[in-house]
Amino acid sequence: MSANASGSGTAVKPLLRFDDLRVTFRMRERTLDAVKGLSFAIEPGQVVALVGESGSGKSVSAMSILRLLQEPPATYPGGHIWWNDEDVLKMDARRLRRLRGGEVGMVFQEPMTSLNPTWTCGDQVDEALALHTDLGADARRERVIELFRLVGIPQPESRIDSYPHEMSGGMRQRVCISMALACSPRLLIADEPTTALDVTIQAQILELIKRLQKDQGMAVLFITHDLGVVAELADRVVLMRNGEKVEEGPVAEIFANPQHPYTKGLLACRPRLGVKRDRLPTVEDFMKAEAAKSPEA
Amino acid sequence: MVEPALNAPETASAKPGSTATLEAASPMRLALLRLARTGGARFGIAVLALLLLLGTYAPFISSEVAYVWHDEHGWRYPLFTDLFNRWSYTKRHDLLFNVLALEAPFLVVACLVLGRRMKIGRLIAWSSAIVILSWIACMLPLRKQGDDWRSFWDKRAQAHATIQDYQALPPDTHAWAVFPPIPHRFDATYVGAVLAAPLDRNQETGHRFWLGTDTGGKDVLSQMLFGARISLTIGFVASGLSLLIGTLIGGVSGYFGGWVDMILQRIVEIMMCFPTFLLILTVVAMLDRDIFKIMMVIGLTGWAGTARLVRGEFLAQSVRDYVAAGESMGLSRWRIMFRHILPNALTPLIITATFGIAGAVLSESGLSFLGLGDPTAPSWGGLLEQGRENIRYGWLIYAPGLAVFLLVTALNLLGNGLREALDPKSTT
Repeated sequence: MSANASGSGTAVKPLLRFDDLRVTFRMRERTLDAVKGLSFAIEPGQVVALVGESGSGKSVSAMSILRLLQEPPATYPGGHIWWNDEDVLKMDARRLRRLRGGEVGMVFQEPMTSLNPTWTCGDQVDEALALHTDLGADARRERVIELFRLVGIPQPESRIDSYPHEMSGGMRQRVCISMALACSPRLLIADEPTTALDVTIQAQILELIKRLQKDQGMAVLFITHDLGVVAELADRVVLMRNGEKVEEGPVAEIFANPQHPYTKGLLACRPRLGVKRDRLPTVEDFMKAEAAKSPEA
Repeated sequence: MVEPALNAPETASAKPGSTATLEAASPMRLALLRLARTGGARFGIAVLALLLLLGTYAPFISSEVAYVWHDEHGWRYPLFTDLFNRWSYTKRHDLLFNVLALEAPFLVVACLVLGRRMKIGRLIAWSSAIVILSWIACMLPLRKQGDDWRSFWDKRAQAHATIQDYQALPPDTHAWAVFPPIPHRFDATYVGAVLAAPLDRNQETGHRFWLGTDTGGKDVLSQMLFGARISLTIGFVASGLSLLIGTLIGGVSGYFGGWVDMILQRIVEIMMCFPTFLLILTVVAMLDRDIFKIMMVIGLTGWAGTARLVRGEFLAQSVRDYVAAGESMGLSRWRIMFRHILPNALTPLIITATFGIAGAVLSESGLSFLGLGDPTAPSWGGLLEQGRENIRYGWLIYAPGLAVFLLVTALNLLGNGLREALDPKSTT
């Protein structure tokens, strides 16, 4: 992990590069700047964690990669998202459809709702294959079974015909992952894929994403607010707050030596075993304390 | 923190013992199973099935033409050829039901054989497609008659081997024939039988008019049977049309939102402002009184409510994650709308469709009752109108009134049952 992270300094051509991205929601009465100039890059095969609290713009940034935000109200007043050498913000609908699912896969937060309840799981994965590959029906079915096996679904031959309501949350998330992986994407966007799962299943899903990332050599953009997950999985960390990047760096560095007061606060307010507190501290507490300290220093 | 627990993935099945034989149960299948357990819905389905059966096989129950005719020329089956006789069955929907009557036994057998391997919805879709295609084929010019091409339906022959033919045979001919239980045509005027009471005999043939005759001397029971065809056709065509328009407009409106939604909803509101029945009355009064035009008008005026409903359902569904997941896979908008969202929005649609069919049947009966129906179509409403004019002849009212009441009640009970069965909160 650290070897990979240190390698990011060399001149590898990035797979995806945010260049001063701005996202603004224009509603009738007011406008909301969700992302205010975000810049960072993801190299091929790299795992980047996008960390931030709710409303920090991390999901909006990730959705922008595939232009999934409804436009309007979402607008892009400035910046670029470079996918290789193409600007995603300038792609036409046809090119976007090829990008979505074909080159970039996405896993969502809520496996209970991100599968269509009226379709069998196999059909939903099959749909992605039918859209992005030239395989025939039998070959696609083979591939779906193979994918199910890859993501660790037991009895894939029969599970392929199951409906989502017949599966548990962890299983559904595996189906979602297999959907995102169907066409061997070069980038996997995982938008808090473990938030809705219980802890043991979380661990399994993280392990799965880690293994798949290694085997397939794809890049992963991992959106989370769970710092434990970041430490486990990521090569680099990008911290966001209020639509702005707060800090960025290799994961070991950030954890060992946070620079920004927000990062310090975030790391400090993680609950720890054996430390007894009346109230769990918030990041604001730490930042206030920092601000109070800094003028004296 | 994270343990590599991948080797022991959680078992997903709710019933741990049954993992070996997993049978996929679609939500629709589960709902149908629940539906089959509700009493009201059972009654509704039974009445509908009975009416469909009676309507489909109406020519086999009530016709002057013999099933089998045997004489010195050999065996003949005139009733089957008469099904495609354009002089016997002038309306297109009659031809559709005749085709269905011929194909239904084969389709039922095929469905029983294939039922284990195919989905119910797909079986129904295939069967309907076969019937409709053969119906269209019957109207295409495929058969050579003389020098020009005619359709199979275009026989235009005088019905032969009728009961009158049989009774007119000289006594010494060796002919033998089997006739339907009611040897009367629905549109034949029987001499000397105007407003004959129930159980009176036809003076020509000696057979009874079980439910009497109307002012034109036509058999009421026979008209009731063929009227079932009309009522069912009106119900399905009119509510199918309004469902189609409503789904399209509501779906586009709910999924795209923005100014599209704004404009479409104003149109829907304008439609809703019209009192529907008055609108139908006006349009029917302007057009000629053809039963298909009446169906179209009922369908074209009744979609506003459906559009509203579908819009709400699409609005609720389009924020669900599976829609975003579909978009993130690169699916087109139309595919997401009609392949992903629509099946999830189907529940309230099916229910309103059921009530819509009942409404359409009532609308047509009402139109006919007011004298704006199709005088050439033997509809229940038409009989009611005759009953209104001849209030002393009660049989003109009881039979069609009861039939309309039964059909509408059955549809409403079925709608209620569907609502309960498709309710996600109801227990399995």
